[in-house]
Amino acid sequence: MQWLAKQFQNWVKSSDDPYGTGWASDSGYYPQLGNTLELQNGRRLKSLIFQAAANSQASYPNYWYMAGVGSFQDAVNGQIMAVEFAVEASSRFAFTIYPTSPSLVETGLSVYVNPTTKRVNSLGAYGNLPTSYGLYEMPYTAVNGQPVFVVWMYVTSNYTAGNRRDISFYPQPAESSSSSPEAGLFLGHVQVRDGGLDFATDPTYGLGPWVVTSGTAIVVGSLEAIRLDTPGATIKGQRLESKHESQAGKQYRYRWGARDAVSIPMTLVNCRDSTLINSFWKAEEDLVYFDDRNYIVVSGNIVNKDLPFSKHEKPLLDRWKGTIELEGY
Amino acid sequence: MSYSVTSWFLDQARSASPPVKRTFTIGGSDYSRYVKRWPSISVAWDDLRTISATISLANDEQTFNFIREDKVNMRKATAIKIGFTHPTSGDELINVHLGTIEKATYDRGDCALVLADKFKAFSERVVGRSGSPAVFSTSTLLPSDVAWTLCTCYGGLNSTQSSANPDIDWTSFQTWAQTFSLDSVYVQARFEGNKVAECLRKIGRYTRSAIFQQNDKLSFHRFTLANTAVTSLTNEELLSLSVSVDDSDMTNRQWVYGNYVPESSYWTINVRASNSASINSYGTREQVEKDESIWYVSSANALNLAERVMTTAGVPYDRVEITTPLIPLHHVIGETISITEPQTGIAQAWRIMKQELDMNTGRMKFGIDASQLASGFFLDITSLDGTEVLL
Repeated sequence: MQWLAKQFQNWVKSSDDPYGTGWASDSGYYPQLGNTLELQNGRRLKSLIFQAAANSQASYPNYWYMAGVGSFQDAVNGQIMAVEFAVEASSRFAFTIYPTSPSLVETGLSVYVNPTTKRVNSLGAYGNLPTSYGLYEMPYTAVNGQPVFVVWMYVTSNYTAGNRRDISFYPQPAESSSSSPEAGLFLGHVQVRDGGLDFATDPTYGLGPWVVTSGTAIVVGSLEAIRLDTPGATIKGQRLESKHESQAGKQYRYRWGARDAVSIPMTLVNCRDSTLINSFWKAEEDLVYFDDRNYIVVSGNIVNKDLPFSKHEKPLLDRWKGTIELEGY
Repeated sequence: MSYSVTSWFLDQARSASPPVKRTFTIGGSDYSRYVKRWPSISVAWDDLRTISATISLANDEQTFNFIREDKVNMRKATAIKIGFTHPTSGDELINVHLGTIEKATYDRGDCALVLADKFKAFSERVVGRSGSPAVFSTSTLLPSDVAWTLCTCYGGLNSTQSSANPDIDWTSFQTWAQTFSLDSVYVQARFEGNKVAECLRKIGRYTRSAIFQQNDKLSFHRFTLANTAVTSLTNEELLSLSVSVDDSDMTNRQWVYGNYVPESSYWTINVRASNSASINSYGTREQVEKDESIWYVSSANALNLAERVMTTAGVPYDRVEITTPLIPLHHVIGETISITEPQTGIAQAWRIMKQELDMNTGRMKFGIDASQLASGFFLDITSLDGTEVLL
């Protein structure tokens, strides 16, 4: 996985034409382009599918390859579950689920089928599966004529809050015995980190109304907090100070305060989160941007000039993109 | 006279990067975090007027709509303070401006408040009318007696004759009054519709006194001896310095008219004091002090002023304008700043005659000169046996 991710990074760094389509790497992997991503360095590029070259397919079933690192969060019925995913150099992609509550949680993951692939019949799953889960094809959603699969996870009390569960999925193409390498999957929510790839320790972040403070730790109302997959977030700090220089060159500096801000580019945000964030903006809600230890990174208000999420993530009509501008008060 | 602050405060004021703090409150509620632009506050020794402060606030969250919705809130006490935050004992702040809301202007997400201090009434109330003047005709009225009546009866300030007076700096007033009573300086006055502030300015000018606001109280001074509250500034502390010498500042023959008779518009007394040495050097520069509103009742009283002018105005004096960081923050008008500046060759101390604090940047501007001070107080340690006994 590290190796594959490295290849991915190399591609990101070396590509002169991130929007092009005719690229092929020396590594034997062929990227294909999907949804637009925004990288931490500000570049935009399409989400990627790594597709195995023919000579590297033999040991893997179904010839499915994927690339991408990141995490995925979703919340349904007010409950939150953090899902980190990684794609391994195999025919499967893996999930690690961190339930934030041991109670019944339902989450979903969209899996889109690349338009150039052969038709995928279904998804398979294995690993530490929850007691109940389902793999469904969304009946009315398709990308370029291909179906979109939705993985529904029903996490019940046999999941302990904070413990990780690894689950893997693999595609089952209609032509499962095909030797053609023209198949690929990509996740609908891939974002790329320039830095480390240690998923076990990478923090996740959240955004929500301020509820309780206790020192620097906070308690955030889970009902309205949103877990953010924000590898591209940029934190800015600004000192409010006056500087004076005496005739002899001595500096006098009066620091009246400090203000920080965070800019959070987000793609493929689901309707619930985009609506909630937009409502935070309208209500000028006091918010905290916090990490997974509940430490405040920035507390402030969303100061976007317009609605943070006003554009669809084309061609997906149930996903939104935008940038949250949170500025400290 | 200075603000009463701790030695820790003074240390912080001299520090290059102190833990500064500014606060703005309305009715005791802290709105500091909404301030977009802090005001500049200026005071001069001879220009008594309402001190206004315009403060620009963020109203995006409609925080200040409560003022417009219930206008009585404009009468709530406002306070602007500046100081330093002690790591353990909390904030030590001085009052820069206390008052009420004079005007509120809303413009989209901004709210600008004009704050006026309690002496705004001095600019709103008149003393006497042309057909019915306010006459102070008792033969033994001190200038301070007239000022007290103007402040309390006409200006509406508290008339408590003790340090508990919330409007008048009783200690300074007593000292000021004493300078007149010791010399039996008596005046009479007649005001025909002047504003209270104007009447007090006339008394100030006619007696060469400083009447100004300090820490929400009216302070009265007739500068005599050098003030020993001295802050020393060198190039290390001075942000800028300019000095000017103006020949027109000089007076070497002062005429003072007195015992005015309103009915005939005639002064029955005129006295003069001269500085012969100055006349010999610079030629005669005469000034006449006469006022139809206030006048001395005897030649001796009038001469008191004339001779006072001669003590300081016989030669042109240095007018120094300096800008500094917050080092002299605790000082008020009349106190002394000692300056050592090699470029201009200045190594002297003079009184603060006007000062301005830019709350936005923490920069202070002072006008200091010798118009009301012959020389500052120095302890010349070079003539001591040693400095080891100095604390």
